[in-house]
Amino acid sequence: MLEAQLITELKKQNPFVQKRVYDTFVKRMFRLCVRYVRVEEDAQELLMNGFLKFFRSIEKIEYRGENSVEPYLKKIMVNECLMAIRQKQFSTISIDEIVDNEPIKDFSTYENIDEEEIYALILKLPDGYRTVFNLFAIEGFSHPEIAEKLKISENTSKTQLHKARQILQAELQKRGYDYGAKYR
Amino acid sequence: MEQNIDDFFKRKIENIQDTLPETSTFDEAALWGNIQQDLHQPKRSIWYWLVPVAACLVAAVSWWVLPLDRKGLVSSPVAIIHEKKVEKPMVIKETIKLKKDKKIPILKKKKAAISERLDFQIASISVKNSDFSNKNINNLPDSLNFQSKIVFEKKPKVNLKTVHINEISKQGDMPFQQPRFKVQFAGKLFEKNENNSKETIQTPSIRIQ
Repeated sequence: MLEAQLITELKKQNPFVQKRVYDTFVKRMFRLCVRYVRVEEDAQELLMNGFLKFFRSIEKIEYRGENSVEPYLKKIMVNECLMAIRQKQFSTISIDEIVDNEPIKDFSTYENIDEEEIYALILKLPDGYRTVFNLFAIEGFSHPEIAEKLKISENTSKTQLHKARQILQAELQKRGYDYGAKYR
Repeated sequence: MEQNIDDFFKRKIENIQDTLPETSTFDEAALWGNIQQDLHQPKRSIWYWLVPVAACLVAAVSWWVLPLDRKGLVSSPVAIIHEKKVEKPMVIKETIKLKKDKKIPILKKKKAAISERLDFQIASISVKNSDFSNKNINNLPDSLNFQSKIVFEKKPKVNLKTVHINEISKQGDMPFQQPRFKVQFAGKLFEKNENNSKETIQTPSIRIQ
């Protein structure tokens, strides 16, 4: 089914189309929510609220070519997650706790790392760092946008991102994967 | 370097986004059931909220606007206090009436007029009133305001002769006819006390013989 038809049917509140959209995006959105809130139960609640908002506000969406549903749904889910984080109070940790390591220049060394392990590394990040890293690196928001969403200064956003990267890099180096092992 | 690490993580996460973690307890079907349940709940129309709000408003307005007998709605101790409050104005009204009957303004006028008088004379007043004896003393008009029936005239000189009763019987003449009542009005006398410069008012006295 073309996305234009999909949106038309969604606007008619067609339950079969709704189920199809749900099946297509539920795992992706669940992963997204877990990346922000870490706890699966919280993520399920956010997922439910997000899908309900999506199905109820689908009339506002306009067809702008293929792949317009997923960004819209993703935006709703991210907003839900940020609302939940704001309610829990956005916490940051002291910068002094992080040790500055030599930056990794070639990531091909780590290509053989399991994706689930990478995913777990992100979840291990402190709340503030994880949120900023998710928004900037994964979702692609700019620092002014992040600052506005999280109600922090741009400099705080930049610092949080920098430190998040340093932690992730340190974790990768701890793993001690053989350089380019996958590609030999 | 920074761009590299971001891209590296993004790429890795995109590879696993359509699969659930092995340890996950997430139940897709149960969540869909909850979503369906919420989606197909009958929407409450605006009347659902509007009607109770309107009813409350009408009740509140009618409470203040309509002249309801709210005494019955008040608990008994409060009602007792309310009755006491009502009694007070009635007492005041009665006292005002009594004062009006006494004709206070007239008395003031008299007082003011008389106060100008410095000298006073005592005049003997005799009253010619044949019906006087028939009137009840309580129904007599106030002597202060009684004007029409008072006649000022000189006391007639009567030549009286004091005789003994035996003397009358001897002569065989009829005894001298005395007036049945001899009323002497003292009137209202005002004296100005020079020492204290205060007026003293003597109440009128009637002597009946």
